[in-house]
Amino acid sequence: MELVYSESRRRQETAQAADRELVAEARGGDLLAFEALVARKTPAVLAVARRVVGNPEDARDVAQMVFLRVWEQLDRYDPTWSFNTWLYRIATNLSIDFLRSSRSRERAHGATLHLVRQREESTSLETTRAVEDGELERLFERVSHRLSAKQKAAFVLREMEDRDTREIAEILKCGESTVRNHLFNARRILRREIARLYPGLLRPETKS
Amino acid sequence: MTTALCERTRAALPEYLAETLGESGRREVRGHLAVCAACRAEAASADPTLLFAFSNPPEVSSAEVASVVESVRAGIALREAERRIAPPAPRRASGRAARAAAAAAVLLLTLAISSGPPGSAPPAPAGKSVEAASAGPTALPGVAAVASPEGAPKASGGATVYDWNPGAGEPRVVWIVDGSLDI
Repeated sequence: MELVYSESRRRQETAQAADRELVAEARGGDLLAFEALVARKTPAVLAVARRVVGNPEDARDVAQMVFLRVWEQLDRYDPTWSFNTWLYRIATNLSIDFLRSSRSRERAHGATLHLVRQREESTSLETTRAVEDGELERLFERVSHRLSAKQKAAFVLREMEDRDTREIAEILKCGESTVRNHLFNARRILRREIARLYPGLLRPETKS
Repeated sequence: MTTALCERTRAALPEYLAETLGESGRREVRGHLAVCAACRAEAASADPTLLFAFSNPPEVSSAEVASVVESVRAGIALREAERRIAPPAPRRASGRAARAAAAAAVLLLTLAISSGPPGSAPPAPAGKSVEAASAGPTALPGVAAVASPEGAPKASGGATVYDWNPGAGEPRVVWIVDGSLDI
């Protein structure tokens, strides 16, 4: 167990060192180094963006905006801070902005109508069967549309990205108690939405 | 088979959900739930929001990564090109500098008019301001200091009226600074 932990920590440290090197070169104006950094970080940025904004196409747009913002603000980045936290802050904030934008609201409205229709057509999801990853992603998208953008971002970062509350507070530029408050409310709303849309996922005594 | 770790994990779930569990306890719970299907099922049925804790990150294909890199490269090239062809921003005096310049211009003009034929200046008592609807004076650094010894500035609409009457046969100076005047 300790060996596995050490191995994963060493890998993480190596990755961070490589990030630092690429960031330093990119800050010096090396576009190739920046592109290498983009390629390394795209999966993580897309994961957060997709979970917050809700669909792959919008997430790609957000990711592009994120890296353009990073390129423009690289000289403002303080290398004594974690690059990942800085990147997550930009990615999360742009995802939140996107989610709040009218375009996103219109799409969400369309998706909601689609979900209502889908729910009317099938009740097969109202079971306790194992939920596959793709299914979980769709389930989250269905039940999370009533969360505020910040509640959703806090839940995604904490529960799905496994970030600690201090880092989330840095990313969302708020206090840790505010993060905990967002998480508490997010769970409450998600539970209520799951109970409404998928009562089969709840244990009998928790349904009431 | 339920182990002691299973028991401990299940007992820690309420604290995990309430965000009162320390980071090491939280890591232990997540670590165990990641490998124990029975506890995961138990946890998810107790609180279905825990289902999302164990969803794998969305799969990102190499084509998607390449597409993002490509669009970022294009975006940077576009911005660089825009920067190169953009005309230089016109030099424009700042608001404060513009007002100061306007005040100086009006002052010089007024002095020139006032110092015409001797005795042409109105014999107003020192320190009295000209009649102006006062809507609260707006202080102008530098300019107000010139006006303040003898006359208080008065604001009227977007303009401030300064009245300086040194007395002793010296010409009285009145000048108006229009904040909306842009030069």
